[in-house]
Amino acid sequence: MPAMLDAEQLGPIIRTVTRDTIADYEEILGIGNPLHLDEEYARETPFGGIIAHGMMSLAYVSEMMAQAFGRGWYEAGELDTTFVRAVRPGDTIITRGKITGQRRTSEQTHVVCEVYCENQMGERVLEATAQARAAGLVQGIPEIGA
Amino acid sequence: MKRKREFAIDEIEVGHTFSPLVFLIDEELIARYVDTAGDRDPLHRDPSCARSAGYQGIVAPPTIAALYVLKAYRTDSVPPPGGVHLRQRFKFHHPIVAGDVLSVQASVVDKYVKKGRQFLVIESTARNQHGVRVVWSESTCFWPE
Repeated sequence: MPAMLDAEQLGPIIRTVTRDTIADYEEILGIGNPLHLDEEYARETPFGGIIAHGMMSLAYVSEMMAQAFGRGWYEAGELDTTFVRAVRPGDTIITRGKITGQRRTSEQTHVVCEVYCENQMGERVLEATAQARAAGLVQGIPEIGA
Repeated sequence: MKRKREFAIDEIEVGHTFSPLVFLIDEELIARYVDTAGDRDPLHRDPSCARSAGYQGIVAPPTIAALYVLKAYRTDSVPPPGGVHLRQRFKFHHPIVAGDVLSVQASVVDKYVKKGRQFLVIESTARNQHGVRVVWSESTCFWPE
């Protein structure tokens, strides 16, 4: 199990978003929303230009959670995400989190993490609560109601 | 891609169920997904690494669910462009590996107007080819004005 478990801090995952990655993501989504593809169209919207699909940043959250919890993320993960601000071409997105609580059942420990993505200006673009099964109790983290 | 008919907000009420989506997760899709994200974890790229870690094949990042939950309510017709996705919840119940064929069923669980905006909440459940529930999803969007 990853060594990160006695630390509170998760991440960071640091990624720069480009017009190409935004377009590639929209292509695999297969929806073809011009807001993510067509600058002329996007300029006329309230966003004023191309933005990334909000779901794109979830991949960074997943990578961070998988690094910390492995299978406990793949088969017992939970995510509750609010998309706060648009991600634009050229943005560098930094994803971080910390374990804020843990819940013990008879056989398993589940951790609760507060997670966010912010851009290079320090503005949050995404906030989430993520949960995963952990290998055991994490030192120094309060237990939440039984 | 052929453009499907757009549906109107009045056509869908709470309880409305969309036609199921059948969605193949293959190695190529996983590779393209992790490439856009810049994720270098070999579990998502190398079958022998994934097998030695105890998985049936290359593991998909579970947030690849984004690719099918948004399609799952576009099986019959599509919402007009301009909607904004505000909140997304997922529960991951079982690893998704390359070769899985998911069937995804979406339905409308809430619809309300708040601050003059029309909101829609869509839930979906994905099962793999063995009938195992792999992902639960809930998407909250507001409808284009």
